[in-house]
Amino acid sequence: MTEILWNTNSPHSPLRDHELVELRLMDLGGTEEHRYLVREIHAAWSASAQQIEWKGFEDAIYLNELDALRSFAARKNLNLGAGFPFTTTLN
Amino acid sequence: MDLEFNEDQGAEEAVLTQADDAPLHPRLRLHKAFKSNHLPDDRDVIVYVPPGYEDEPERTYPVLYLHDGQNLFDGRTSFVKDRTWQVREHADAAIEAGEAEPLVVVGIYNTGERRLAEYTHEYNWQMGGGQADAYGKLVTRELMPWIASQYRVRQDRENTGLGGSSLGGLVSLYLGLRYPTVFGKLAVMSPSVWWNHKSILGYLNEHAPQMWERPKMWLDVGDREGQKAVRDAEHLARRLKANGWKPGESLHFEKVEGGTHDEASWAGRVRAMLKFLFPRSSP
Repeated sequence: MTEILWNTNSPHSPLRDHELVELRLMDLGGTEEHRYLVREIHAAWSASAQQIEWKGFEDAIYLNELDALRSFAARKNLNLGAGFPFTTTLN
Repeated sequence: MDLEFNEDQGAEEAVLTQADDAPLHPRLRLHKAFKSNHLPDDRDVIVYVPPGYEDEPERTYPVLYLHDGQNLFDGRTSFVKDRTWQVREHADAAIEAGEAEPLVVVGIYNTGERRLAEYTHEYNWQMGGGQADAYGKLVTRELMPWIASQYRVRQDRENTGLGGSSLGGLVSLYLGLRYPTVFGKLAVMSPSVWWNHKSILGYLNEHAPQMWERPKMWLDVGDREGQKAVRDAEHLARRLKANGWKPGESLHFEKVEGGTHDEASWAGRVRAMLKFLFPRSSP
């Protein structure tokens, strides 16, 4: 599951104001312990590079799907408050 | 879970003694299902009392009301498990170090699905919201009188604060401007200034000239919350200064180095916030 959280859904807003957050929930599998990864990646317009640049990411590993889903929802909710209320779901 | 209920003035009081988890700290009281005539959902309220509260039965205390109460004290109820603001630990430390006045802190739980509606002051055609006025009535007309009937809190504006983060920061600012005679101190942490095209800035410009007294305000944002969030907070700080807030006196604005938009980061700001808003008046 991957969702892109945007700070705008306006097609006319200038690209230089764009910031986005990508949230991923991945089933990592595992032979001994099943693991789930929640990854949050930030990206923003770079004036110097004149393009959107990906910044650092944060990972959290969970041993059950429910905890991973809760973490995903929590990250999404926090990012809404931070100004990223619009969502594109990729799969 | 073993809960003891005492029905009292519309709220059910419970002392949480969970068999599978540690009980709440003895200076925390959880009041279940506080009812309101202004909003449909019941909500829990958690109250912190300072060290020595029970030893000085005549003493009264300043009070700080904080939103998102489930994220303040108890890791079992926080949105991200075990990540809270650690308000009890930070308040205890600030009080015991003589930095902050002993105070009562009231955490008002959000209602999940309706959080966004209750914490926003204007309707947005894409996202809804706009019920902060009803939430303000709940806080000022229902909860505050009830708290005053149950706890030894001072009720003048100088000793009454309101605060929160994110949308909770936004609604704290809005209600602080809406009720300047009620709240004398505001904790506005990582506020969602972006809501509805930053309409809170216009509201500030409209209402500030009519205010006799400006609430003392702590305003912060983490420098890792995104470019827009930082710019919005700086914009808000400039507007506050232009409207009469004085840096270092009635306004503390801080860009927190390494600060992010989450409970762990807000926890790191609590002690300094308490020190600024509720400074110890005498050693």
